[in-house]
Amino acid sequence: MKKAMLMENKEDKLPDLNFWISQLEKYDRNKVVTDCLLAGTDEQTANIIANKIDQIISPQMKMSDIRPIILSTLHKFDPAAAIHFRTNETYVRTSDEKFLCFDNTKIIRSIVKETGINEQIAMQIAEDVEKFIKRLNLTYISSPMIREIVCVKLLEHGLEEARKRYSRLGIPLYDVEQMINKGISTDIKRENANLQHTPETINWIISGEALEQYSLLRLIPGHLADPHLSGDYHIHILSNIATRPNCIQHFPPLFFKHGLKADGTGRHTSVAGPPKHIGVAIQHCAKIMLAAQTQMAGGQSIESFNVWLAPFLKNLDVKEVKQAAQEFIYELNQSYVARGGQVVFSNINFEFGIPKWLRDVPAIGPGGEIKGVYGDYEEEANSFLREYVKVKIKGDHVGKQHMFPNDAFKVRENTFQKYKEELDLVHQFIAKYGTPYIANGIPEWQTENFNYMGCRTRLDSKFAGPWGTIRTGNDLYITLNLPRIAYESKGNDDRFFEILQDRLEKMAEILIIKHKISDDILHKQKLLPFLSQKFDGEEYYNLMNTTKTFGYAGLTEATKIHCNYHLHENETAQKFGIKIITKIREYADEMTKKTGLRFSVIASPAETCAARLAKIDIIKYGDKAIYSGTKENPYYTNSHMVKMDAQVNFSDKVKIEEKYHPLTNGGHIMHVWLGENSPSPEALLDITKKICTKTNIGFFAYTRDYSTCNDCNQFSYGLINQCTNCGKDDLSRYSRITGYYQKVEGWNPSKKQELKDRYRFSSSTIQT
Amino acid sequence: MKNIKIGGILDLSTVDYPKKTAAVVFMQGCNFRCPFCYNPDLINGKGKEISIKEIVENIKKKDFIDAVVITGGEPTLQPESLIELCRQLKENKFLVKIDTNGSNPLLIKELIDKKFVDYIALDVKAPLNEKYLDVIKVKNKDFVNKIRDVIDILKNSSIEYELRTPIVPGLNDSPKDLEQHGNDVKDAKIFILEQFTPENGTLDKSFEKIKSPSYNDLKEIAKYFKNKKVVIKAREVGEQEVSRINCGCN
Ligand code: SF4
Ligand SMILES: [Zn+2]
Repeated sequence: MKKAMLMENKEDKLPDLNFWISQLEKYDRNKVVTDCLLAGTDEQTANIIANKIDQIISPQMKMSDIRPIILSTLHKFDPAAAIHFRTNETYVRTSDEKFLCFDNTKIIRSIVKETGINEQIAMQIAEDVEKFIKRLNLTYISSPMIREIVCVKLLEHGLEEARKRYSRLGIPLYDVEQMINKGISTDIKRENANLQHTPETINWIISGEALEQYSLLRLIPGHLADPHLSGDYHIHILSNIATRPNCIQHFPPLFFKHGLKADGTGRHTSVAGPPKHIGVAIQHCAKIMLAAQTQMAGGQSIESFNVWLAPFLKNLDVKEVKQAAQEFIYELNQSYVARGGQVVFSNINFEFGIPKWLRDVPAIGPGGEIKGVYGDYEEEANSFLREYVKVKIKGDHVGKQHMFPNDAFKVRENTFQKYKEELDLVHQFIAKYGTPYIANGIPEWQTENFNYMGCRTRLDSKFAGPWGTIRTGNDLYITLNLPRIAYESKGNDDRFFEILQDRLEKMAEILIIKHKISDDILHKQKLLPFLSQKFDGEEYYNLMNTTKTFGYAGLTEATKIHCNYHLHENETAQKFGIKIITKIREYADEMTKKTGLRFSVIASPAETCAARLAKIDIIKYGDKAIYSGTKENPYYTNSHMVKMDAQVNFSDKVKIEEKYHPLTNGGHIMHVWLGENSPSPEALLDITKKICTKTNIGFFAYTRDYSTCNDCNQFSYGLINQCTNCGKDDLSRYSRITGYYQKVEGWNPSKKQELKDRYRFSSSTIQT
Repeated sequence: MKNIKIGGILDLSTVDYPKKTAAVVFMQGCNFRCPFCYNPDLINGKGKEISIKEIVENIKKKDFIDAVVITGGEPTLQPESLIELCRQLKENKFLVKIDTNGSNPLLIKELIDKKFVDYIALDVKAPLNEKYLDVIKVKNKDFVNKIRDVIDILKNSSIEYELRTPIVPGLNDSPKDLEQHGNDVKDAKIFILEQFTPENGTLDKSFEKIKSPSYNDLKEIAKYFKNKKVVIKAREVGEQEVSRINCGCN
């Protein structure tokens, strides 16, 4: 066995010799053999190593020159023995797999260069490091290890800032190995659960981890980073703070007019002219998202999608319209190329007909020319919506759902009167997959234009008019741990709001830092050429219109801690909840006034961060901790939502949650959970209409569970354990939120869970 | 003040009343013992007694529903309470649907005559002969006649109704039984075939091991039923109307 290994290794090149210069002992072949034997290898190996060394050295060389080579060679043939290799020197194993003599002047140079501390102190540190390493009595030490030791010594000297700068960024070996062997587990803190197990994903996670550490060490000052680490708040997209803004609402007509440079400059990719035909226009739309994905951290959306496309649809028959919709959907679901081998997190906002604010706007049509106004294309816009929805209802070739784009349908004042056919289709789509979102523009508090993404970030016309809702997005949001404030204020209202104010100020500081970073990477470092490309003298991504957003998690747990009741349990809790979020909104508005930046408030989507914050608080507060889920799997309830398992009926839930939608101008969502296997589209439309016309809910989605067989691809409603078609039990089960149950009143507690589950499975088949 | 015994109320359903949003009241207790019953708790459990006023108040607070479905168990086992509940619901302008096993034709007639109900779903789980008693596991021939009476009452009224059955492999799906079954329900405008799904427990535990019929099985079985509209409810498709299959000459 060992022999075979030796043979294989024969071809290996030995380390470069020129480096070694020294005048100590003379070379002696026997010494090589002895050194090797002393290290504990067998005679045969010792001889092979001596032979190899013999072949490559020159007679003038000294033993001290040769020892690193012996060590390298021994390390190759018998790593266990290499550890015991006896020598007076300590060797450094460098990243290019060479062994070099330990040299402390190199350390001094690098400390000075990287941290900026003076040479005197650097020498002191290097000396300490050398002493320390000597004491360890090692044969060789790796350069990352030396870096760690330097960091420890810097700490000992109280040089925390220098220590940070000298840090090495990376990821534990164990994590990398786990990722390769077992896949991308949720233990490895990623906010995006969509990741598949591929080499690209592993790259994405490792680089993300390093950049996240970079953000915390370099970009966010300690007094702002520590509260994140200790769980006062959670900074999202930390891995992207240095290099990307969060999200964007695109505006395709600019590319229809000027053509498409996927790299933003036209120097690295082919440049396309204005599209003459719908087939090219729709390709442009998909490519815009694919290109921008290299520069965005979060989701991307095309607002009023069907409106922008409408001028290209004049006189086309439905087959061509459908073809275009199909191309777009497949393109976005199959371009498995973005950020770590994912598809783009894409969103579409649809209008029913042409909204008022666009009716008189000149329409960019084929060839990039103005062809009348958008108001001329009502029927074309609707036709695209209809065909698109039909493609979505059909699913893919094997009958699975097209996961992307997330589709939001914008309901406005006249929608229910005028667009029956389109609404019916949309609700058939909802009945089948439950995925589309309804964006409700009817409540008084909505503005002339508004848009949402599947991740629920929202833009409206208040800050910069209706055009301020596009070519921009969210720059960054941070989620506030509300239960933490409740613990700390010990039931005292004044204290609660003092702490809240303090947290908000810190969060604002971070948001401003992020704004400066985004400004720099766009304009100084020019890191985002797609976003900073200019059209008619104006930059594509409007940074000044991006939102800087305060989010929050666990409002219901906070009121439970502070007022002793969950949101759904009494009025006092509800009033206190509103008071908190109103305060946050007021602070955001105040900051907007002060800075001119667009501060806003979001009902944070982040499920991962809600779990992280709850876990930290359980450790901190022990038995007193209030959380949802189980002790092993705790979480804070999403934003202001009523507790997932609350015994509260649907209308009460709406009444509680609708109050927060006008306050959260940066985004919100309500989930409508339907337990049934096959909801009726007619009844769903009825619910949609009631929510839109009778409540303040601005954005909502129905939640549907369904399963598909991994073997025969049979689609089934509900979360089932066995395929009804082929009988196999290998199924993919889909649900928007897991663990969220429809309520059943009056059932005795031990049976409650069961009946709920049962109802979820069999509502359409319960017997009398 | 009249009381009523219920197992629970479901808030918001889109499937229990055709094309309407509904709340569902589960009434406690049943006089049949169908081994495949999905709601053993409603048969064996104690339920909860609450006043009709409380139930109606509760339902009135649900802003998103237009209809109320009263199901069970068997609602007609609490005749006076059922009449009062329906009366009050109608007074509050709700559409009312009752799901029944057909064991109380007189009460059904009374509810229809008084216009306290808008829609009735009647279970006809097998051919209306000795076989029926095997399926409901109660040896009382009277029940079969009563179900026939309910069918007649429905047929001769102007109320909307549907007949329906679960299909349980090995119990009610033999060709001979299906032939007769189809014949017994042929006058109904709407007949519904439901997929038996045992995962969440059945009254007779041994039925939990029976495999659900697939959608394709149900499509075959649907051929025995010649009603104007035959609907299959199965997980694979949700609710699907079977288009009439003819010889192809037209
Ligand atoms: S399935 Fe049978 S036992 Fe169960 S409630 Fe209906 S009639 Fe009664
Ligand atoms: Zn299968």
